Amino acid sequence: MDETIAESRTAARRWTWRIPAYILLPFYLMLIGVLLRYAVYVRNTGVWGFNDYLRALCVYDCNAYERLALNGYEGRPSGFDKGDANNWAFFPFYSIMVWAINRLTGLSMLVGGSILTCLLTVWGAILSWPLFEKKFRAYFLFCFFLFLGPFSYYFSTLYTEALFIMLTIAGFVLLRQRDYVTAGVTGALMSATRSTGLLFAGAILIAAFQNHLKDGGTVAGFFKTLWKRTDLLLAVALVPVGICCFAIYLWFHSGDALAFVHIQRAWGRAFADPFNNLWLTLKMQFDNHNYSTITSDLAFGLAALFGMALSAVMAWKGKWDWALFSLFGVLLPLSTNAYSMLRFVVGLAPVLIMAALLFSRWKWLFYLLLPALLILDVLLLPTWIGRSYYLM
Amino acid sequence: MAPTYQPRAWHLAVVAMIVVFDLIVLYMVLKPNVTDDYRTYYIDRSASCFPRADNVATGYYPLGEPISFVPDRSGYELDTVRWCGFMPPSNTGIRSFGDYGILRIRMPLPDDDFLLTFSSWANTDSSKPERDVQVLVNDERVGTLAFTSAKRIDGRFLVPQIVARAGGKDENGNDVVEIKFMVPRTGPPGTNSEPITLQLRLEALRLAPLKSLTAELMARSNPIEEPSSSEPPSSSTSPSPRGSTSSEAPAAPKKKEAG
Repeated sequence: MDETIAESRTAARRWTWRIPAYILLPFYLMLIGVLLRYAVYVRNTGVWGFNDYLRALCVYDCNAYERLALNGYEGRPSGFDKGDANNWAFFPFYSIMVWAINRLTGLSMLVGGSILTCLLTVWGAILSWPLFEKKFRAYFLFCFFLFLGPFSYYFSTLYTEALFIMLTIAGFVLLRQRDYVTAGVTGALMSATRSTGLLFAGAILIAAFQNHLKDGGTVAGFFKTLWKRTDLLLAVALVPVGICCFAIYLWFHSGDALAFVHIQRAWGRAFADPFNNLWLTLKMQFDNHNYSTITSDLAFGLAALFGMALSAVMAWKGKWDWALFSLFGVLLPLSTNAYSMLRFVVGLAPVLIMAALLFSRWKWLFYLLLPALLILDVLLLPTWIGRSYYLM
Repeated sequence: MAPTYQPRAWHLAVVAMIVVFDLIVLYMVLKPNVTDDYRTYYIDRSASCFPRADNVATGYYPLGEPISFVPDRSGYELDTVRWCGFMPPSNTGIRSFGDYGILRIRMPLPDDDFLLTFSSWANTDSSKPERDVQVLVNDERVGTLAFTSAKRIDGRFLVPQIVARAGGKDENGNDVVEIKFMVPRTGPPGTNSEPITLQLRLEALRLAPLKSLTAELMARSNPIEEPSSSEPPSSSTSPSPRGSTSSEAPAAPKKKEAG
């Protein structure tokens, strides 16, 4: 018997008993990230309580999701100075999960929700492995960004980014496997998590078209056989089910099925030309003759540009389903205002994956980015805890 | 070889159910079951503020008492008349937002005319054009404030009985008096589609029947008969159609002395 073959068979047998690196990596990085930020928090504040640390991390929308899990949806709007805000703008799926964890384990909403968020991010990272096409360096950079990057806070406290990214990744992996109906179910959960989840319906159609071509079909053939594609019809029909369930609930609760849209007036959001909004945001500080700092408005504008640029890269790489999902994932919130664009761009899994694939192509850049991300993660912790508009 | 596809009946059955479900949602979207104030503020966007709930902004007000919107000043302090378009009281009073701010008073009115007085500021200065603020009571204009600088304007307007009663009565038989301050727009809408408007700041306000004011004045003119009165002297009770400008201390009366 050939020794090489025998050894490789043994190695293969051994391998089956091991947990693959792509599964362990996110776990390790998540644990390192949590411990590192906790250590920085203790160093900065002198407070040792882990619960205090989790409470300090829970700023802005985190409080809203926590209250939503605790008390459900509020009645007549009365929040903010204008007395016109309440929590109808926050989609329910994530808070339902936090509430369920609380019921099952008895953990507080804050602790249970924080653990859930971390585990959802780990799960999302593991699921994303097939999308990296065995490019481990890119996968490492992606995981490092999630758990040790400057936006790691979204992935360790009560925010919907972790759940949305996990569902998006699951959806695109299912599309890759041509399992459209299950992808549609995932899309339904996405639309129950964030309004941009609706965009996944378009991604399903584009992915099906591209898969048809990859499988040897023609453009004309795709449209000719479309009437037979009941799986696609079902998948697309499933995506809005999540948001529709929320709309029905709101109709009974408030009388307005679109209350989640209308209540956005309290946040100064109204539909307008996204490109005009982008232009206004980018030039605002220069109109005020501020050339020395980067204001949050400029940061939001740059984030939107980054998201759109990476959407173009996706299209160039032939990943049209990713590209259009990401492009409209940027334009939809941008059409209402530029606030929080950093968070909305970071919440788009294809943008993060494409950025990781792109920036890990060059080893020097990869090795430069790792410490840069880590330093930013540590430095931005007080900024995040201090309720900075930049990171919101 | 071109891929082939097999249609499935159960797919179509589920799609049919989802379509029915979507139609129900569409009906709900097209037929909102909301109050008028919700519709005008959130759906039509024709209103610039959303009124506070009736159980919070009850409209209760001891008629004739000065209302202070600033902490540590004398006067009625419960935040019950701030109804729509004014932010919560702060150290400098209440500030308007949007096209108007409304204070709503609910109480039984005596058979009398009324005097509306208040101290107000606006976020303007002498380098800007005159900004006129219309003062309406129950949608009837009772006067105009002309802001030409950052100085205080003391509003002093006569409210005829017929105007004060034009707001109708609530379910408890109280007269409803809505005092509305309509501010001008000063800039085009920003990215949030909300127009930029003048911001009016109120520190104190009072609505008093003329008869009681006359009696009060007479009492002041004879301090021996009414020694316990601690109201600050009023410069004049004669109403004027436009507010008077002053750069002195706020018109809200100082805190009453103990005893």
